[in-house]
Order: sequence, then C-alpha cells, then structure tokens
Amino acid sequence: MTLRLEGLRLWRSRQPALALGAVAFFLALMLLGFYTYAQSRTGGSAEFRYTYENRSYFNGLTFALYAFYFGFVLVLPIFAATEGGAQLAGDTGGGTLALLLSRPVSKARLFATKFALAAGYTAALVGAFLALALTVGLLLVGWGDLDLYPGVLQMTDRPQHLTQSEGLARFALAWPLASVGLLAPLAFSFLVSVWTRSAVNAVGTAVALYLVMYVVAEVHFFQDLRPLLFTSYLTFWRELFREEVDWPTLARDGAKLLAFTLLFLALAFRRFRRREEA
Amino acid sequence: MGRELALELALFAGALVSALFGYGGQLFPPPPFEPGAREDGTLRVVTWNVGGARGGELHGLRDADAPHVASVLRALAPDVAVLQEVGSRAAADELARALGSGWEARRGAGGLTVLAREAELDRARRVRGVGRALVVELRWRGLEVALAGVHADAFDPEERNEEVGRTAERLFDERADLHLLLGDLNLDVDLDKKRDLFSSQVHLDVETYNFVADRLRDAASGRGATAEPDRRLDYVFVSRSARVEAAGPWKGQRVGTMDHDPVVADVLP
Repeated sequence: MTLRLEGLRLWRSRQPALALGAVAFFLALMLLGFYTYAQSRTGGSAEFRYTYENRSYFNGLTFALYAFYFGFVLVLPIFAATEGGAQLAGDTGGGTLALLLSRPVSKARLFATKFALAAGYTAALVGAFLALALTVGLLLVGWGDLDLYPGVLQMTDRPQHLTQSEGLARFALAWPLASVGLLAPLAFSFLVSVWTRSAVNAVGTAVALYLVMYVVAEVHFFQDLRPLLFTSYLTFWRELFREEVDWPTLARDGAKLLAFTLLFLALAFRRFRRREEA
Repeated sequence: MGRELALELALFAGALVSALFGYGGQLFPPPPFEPGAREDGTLRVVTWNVGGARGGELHGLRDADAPHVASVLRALAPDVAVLQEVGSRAAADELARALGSGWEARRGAGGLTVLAREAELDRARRVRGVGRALVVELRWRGLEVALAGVHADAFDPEERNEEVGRTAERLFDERADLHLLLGDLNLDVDLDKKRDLFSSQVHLDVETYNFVADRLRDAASGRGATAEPDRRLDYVFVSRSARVEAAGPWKGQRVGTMDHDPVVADVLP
C-alpha cells in the first residue's frame, strides 16, 4: 500500500517525464558533439598524422558508450540526488511525513519503501538512457563492432575489440551494474535529506556535494583521496567493455560502492529513526 | 523500536562486510617490480633516461653518476639497453667499457645510446626528420631483432607525435622476428592520469600512444610511474607475438639529480 502510494506520488510529480526529457536533450547534444568532433578533429588533418581518432571506428555502439559514460557521471546522478533529496525532506517540509507516520506504519518500513522506490526509479532511468542511446546510435550513427582505444573515457589501457553482439551483451550487463553504481549518490542524498526540512535545500546540497566530490576525484592532485570518495568508483561498470573482463576488480569496486551505499543509508536511518517529527 | 534498531545495525554490518571485501586487497598492495632471475631464451631489454634536472635545468649523464649507471646495468645484465641523455660519445664508450667485455655501443644524437651484449649489432640508422631516434638491427641467438630507440620532445605533443610516429613507421619497415621500440617517449598516458580535468594535452598524446600500441605491446602497462613527479614517460613496446614474462620500472636506482627509473622487460620472442 505504502509503495503504491509513493509510486503514485512520484508519477504525479512529473519528475520521470522531466528526467526522460533531459536524457533525450542530452543525447541530442551528444549526437551533435559527436558529428562535429568527427568532422573538425579527424577530417584529414595532415599535420597530425599518427592517429586512430578517425571516423572508421565511430559507430552506434561507440556513440552509445560515450553518451552513456558522460550521461552517467553528469546527468543521472543529478536526478538520483534530486529524487533522494526530495523524498524525506520534501515530506517533512510539507507536513506529509507526520501525516504518514500517524498511520500504523513504522519508520523502518517507510524509509525502506522510499529508498526502494527511488532505487527502482533510478534503475528504470538507467535502462531508459541505455535503450535510447543505443537506439539513437544504431539508427543515426550506424552498426558495427565496438573498437576502443585508450582515451579520455578511461575505458581501457590498451586497444580493445568487441564484436557487435559482444558489445550489445556488455551493454545489457552494464544496466544492472550501473544501476547499483547510482545507489551510492541516491543513498547520499537520503543522508542529506534527513538533516534538513526543506526539499530545495536537500536537493541543492546533495547535488552540490556530489559535484564537489566528483571533481575532486577526477583531479590527479587529489589522487590519495580517491579511495575515500564514492565518486571514484561510480563508473566501475566500464570494466565490462574489455575483451577480457577483470571480474575480481569489477566485484571489488562494486563492493566498495555498496559499502558507501549501506553506510549512507545506515547513517540516514539512524538520524531518521531518532528525530522527532513535528 | 527493536526492528528499527535491527535494520540500522544490519545496514552498518552490510557496509562493513562490503568494505572489507572491496578494500581488502588494497590493504596489501602488490609489491613493486623487482627484476629477478629469468628463463633461458628470455631477452632482457632496458630503457633508461640517465639524465636529470637541477634547478629547472635539464642535464645529461653526470660523470659522477656514470659508475652507478654501469653498476645498475651490470646487476640487471640486460641483452639490450637503450639509454637517453648519455652526455657524449666518450661517455657512451666509457659506459660500454665499464660494463665489461662483449658489449657494443651505437650512438645517436642527443645522447641516445644503444648498448647490446653478445649480439651482432648492425650499423645504426637515423630516422629522417627525428633528431633523437635510432633504428638498429641485431642478431640475438639466431633471431633477427629490429630495435628502435627514441627520446621524444618533452614539451610539444605534436612534435612528439611526429617523432614517435616516424620512428615507429621506420621500425615497422624492418623485416625481423621481433620488433622493439624503447625510450623516453615523454607521453604520460597512464590510465589513471587521464582523469585529470586540468590536462589539455592528454588527448594528443593518447593518439600517439594508440598509434604504437595498435601494432606493439606495451610491456610495462599498468606498472606505474617511471619518472618524477609521478609520471609514466618511459616505455618498452614489443611485438604482439612475443610474450612478456615480467616488466616494470625498477625503483630506487636513481642517484643525484636523476629523475627517471630504468624500465626493464623480460621478453620471450
């Protein structure tokens, strides 16, 4: 009953439609950037001869992978943080939480329901993003094998070749793993959410802190801090796009993200169960 | 209240178990590369920029450091060594003499020196348009080996691209059982470094790296930095058909103002 009610509230908030619109807009920008890069940077620059950045290996699968990678670190965590930040703080600020708890429902059940719903929503968003990126890539950019070279995506430290069917299978595996990856920013936003009674403050703080941690994790100067930041492991699913997947590394990085997720949830729930609802 | 406390404790316990599994390996990081004994039939190659920097000024091999370089090379006992920034022809010859009998040296511009032990070393050939590069053919235990040594530009990625690309193309022209490209490529394309948001040149160097890595295997890939400060500039590339038994930078061998580690690779052709 609680889950259905929360689901209905999420649907009526129009956030899913807004998120899908943002994803579509982001993909359109990526498509534009993809074409302009291919034309301007690799359209036969004679002076920079020794290159593999040419159009021959740009295809629908590489487009989908590039789009998903950038979308995963820049777009999807924002929507996860928005959803998580709004969940508890929004209900607290609006007085809905006190009303909900006046029914015979425990704080544990309410907390778990809200997180499960938010997790399901982010997993659906990840799936929709992947499906849309692959559809756009395959229809507008073209079919082909997935060739990867060491580059800015940090996918690999040596050239990799996956056949088209292998590539599609890896994308299918990336969906659940990327969804697990997004649980950490979602749980973090829950943690922020229990410390404030304003949804706007919770969402703003969660998004800002996520961006700060993401940037810090990306700057080489702060490399010693990386093990302490969940943002360092968010894209652990990239390991899937290698000829030979290093499963132990994949499992260890996934476990680190899960550890952050559970820690944030434990701290959030500790605060939530102890505080007095007005 | 009891169920709520149980949920909280379960979450903390889950976090602890996951962290132990995820971070467990990092508590005992793998030891740094140490060159060990090698199997018979394994070719050991070394690249080492033996110059240094002091007060922002780059300098070649110092006379005071030459005996140390010779002792490190004697300890490694490589079959081929490509050194960069050996100060002069006399210094190269002196180094070959200090290594003992059976060593031959070929010298290029800018202190680039190829040393080979008990191998028939052919005449060294320059690479057109590249100042600090040499291509040498040698016969080692009946194998034809084509070797290119290069010391690429430290400051201009487009210059590096030309130098490394031309050297690699020249090497690929050689018919041989084994191709080797060694040197200070001045490319810092370690996977981890590409996270750096403030780097503007990485993508240019990545393309240069890809050009070589598409044909040859990066023997010491993933073994960490080779030069100060925390940069991976020195590479050993070998034919894809060859097997790399062990490879990596040998730490702790710098003296004085030297700023590069020797990079060693044991290759089974």
